[in-house]
Amino acid sequence: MNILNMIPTIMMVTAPILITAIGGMICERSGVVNVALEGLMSIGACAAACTAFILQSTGAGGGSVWVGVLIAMLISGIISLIHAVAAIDLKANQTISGTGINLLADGITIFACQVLFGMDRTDTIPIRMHTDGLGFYPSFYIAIGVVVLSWFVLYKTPFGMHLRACGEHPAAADSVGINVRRVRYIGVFVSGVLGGLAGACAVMTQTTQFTSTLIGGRGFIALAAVAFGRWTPIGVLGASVLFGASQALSVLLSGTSIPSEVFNIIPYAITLIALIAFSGKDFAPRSAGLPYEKSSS
Amino acid sequence: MKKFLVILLVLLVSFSIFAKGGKEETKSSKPTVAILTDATGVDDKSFNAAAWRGIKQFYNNEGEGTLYRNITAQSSDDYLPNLKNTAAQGYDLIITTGFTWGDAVAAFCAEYPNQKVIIVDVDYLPQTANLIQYIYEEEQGSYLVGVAAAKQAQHDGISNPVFGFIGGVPGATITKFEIGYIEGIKSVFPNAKIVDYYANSWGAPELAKTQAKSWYDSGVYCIFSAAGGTGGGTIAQAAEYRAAGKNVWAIGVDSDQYEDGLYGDKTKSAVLTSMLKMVENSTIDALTKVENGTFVGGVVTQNMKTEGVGYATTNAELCAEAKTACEAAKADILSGKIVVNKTYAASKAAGIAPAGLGAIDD
Repeated sequence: MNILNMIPTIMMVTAPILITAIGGMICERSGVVNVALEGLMSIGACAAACTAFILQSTGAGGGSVWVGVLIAMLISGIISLIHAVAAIDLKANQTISGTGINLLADGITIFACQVLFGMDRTDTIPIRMHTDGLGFYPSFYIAIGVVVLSWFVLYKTPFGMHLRACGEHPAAADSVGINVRRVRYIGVFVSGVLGGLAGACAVMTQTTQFTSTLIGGRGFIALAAVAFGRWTPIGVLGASVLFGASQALSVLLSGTSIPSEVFNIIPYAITLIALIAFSGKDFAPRSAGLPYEKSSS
Repeated sequence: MKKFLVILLVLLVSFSIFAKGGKEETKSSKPTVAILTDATGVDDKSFNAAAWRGIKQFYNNEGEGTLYRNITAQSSDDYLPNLKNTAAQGYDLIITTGFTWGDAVAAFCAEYPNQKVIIVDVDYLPQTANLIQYIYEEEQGSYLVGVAAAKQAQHDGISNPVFGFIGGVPGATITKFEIGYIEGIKSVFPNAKIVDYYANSWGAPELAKTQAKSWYDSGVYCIFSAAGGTGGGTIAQAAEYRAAGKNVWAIGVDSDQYEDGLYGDKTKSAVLTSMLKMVENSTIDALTKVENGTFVGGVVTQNMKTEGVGYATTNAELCAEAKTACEAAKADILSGKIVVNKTYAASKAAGIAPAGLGAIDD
């Protein structure tokens, strides 16, 4: 087993985490913390699997996979707006509303499967994503595209600056005429769309069907990757690859002298160490998690 | 207000009369039964679904809600209360599936000696007259799929094939699957190399897929997954590789997973065969015993003799030699000529299973 062979596998495991983490990063840079990433991934995975299965059972070909991906992005985006309304307009506690969506996702996905398939999972999707000549799935290229695009938008466009301003000092942004509410809505919506995209990639590259345990905590690993990556696209890329690689290596290096549990611990241990090590400095967007109250004066 | 109370009273009385009448009517014919499941319900497409299928078969799909019904527990805290509530409704038989119910069932049976209960996949509860514990000898079915995989490799002219096993959470039950599979393979290829991996999870397909890809790349011919949702990753990888023209196989578990392995134009499947575990046999057996008044508490073993375990022949690419060899092995197991080991320790002592596997025997 040489290292070159491992890279496509590592990227298969990493891509959903990375895509989700970039969404979470954009959301937090706009000033809203989104702990609902886990649930949004799950909803996206379920939506993609249901759409692709239904289309393929009517005779559709490989294009149905991409229709499934688009539907997943749309549905997760719409569900994330629940969080946006609660966090931005109703000024609710963002952790609570995010947790609410995570719980909702458990119910909604199983309910959808029960209605469509009469069981707690979807049927097997016959046509899924395929690898290219190098062994990479499309999810890898999508993830890289998402990272580059997020970097460009955040640092090279006026909108990116507005977004960052809303996360740092919404009152100042407001005073120069930036619509904080609109920017934050977009931030949350983007995290929903990317969460759905990631969930769709997970179901299309890693298994044959949607099950309620498919995402299994990877949304929370993405959340950790946002913090460990210090809220920058490059940092999040590095953190996600590290976390994905540690998951993949726990399997690929099993049977060697290193116990696989060591790799399972890595994401959590590193995140804790990083949080302690960087605790003095403040990398987080200053206003992330705080609702913005427009002053009346 | 008074009028309202009078109407309410009339309604309540009439309801109670009808409710009672309904029950007596059903008592006259077949026994009544309730199946209590964990949170996954009776649609889990595996264990509970099989038990439910057995019940429906017994009643010819007639009488759901009156003769038979299912009750889903939201969490393990509900197990004992659900058992007691069901007993209060006077069902002739209560069915539970899975070892997670063990403690609740044991406590319940001691308290309600007149309520007949069965539990599937458990044999270690205190023996009481009102409880039948059904246990499966999965190693026998796993032996057959091992033979099938090995014969298929021989048929394909692979001289030195390697076989893989992916388990969910290690434990005595999954060890039976792994050991049976290994002994089946070794009966054909005494020196075959076996690799195994435990994902420590029933719901991590990405780990199984990572492992399956790595193994298939390194020359593993066939992988048997007894790992719940985790096994989906193995089948996904096998389907991708078969679609790309690589000769590798996956083996399904519990029910026939042929359809899970379909790829391309859905005419071919990457699931060579599946180890079948017929949980429906246990529910039918228990209901028949209740109906005939022959219900006796104790442990009932389901194996090849009772047709409780077997292998699937749905895949047309499964070669004739494999089927012949499986039928021969089946006959030998029935006659007692072949005795499949249940534990890793026993198989190692017999010199069959290699050292260093992930299986544990607790």
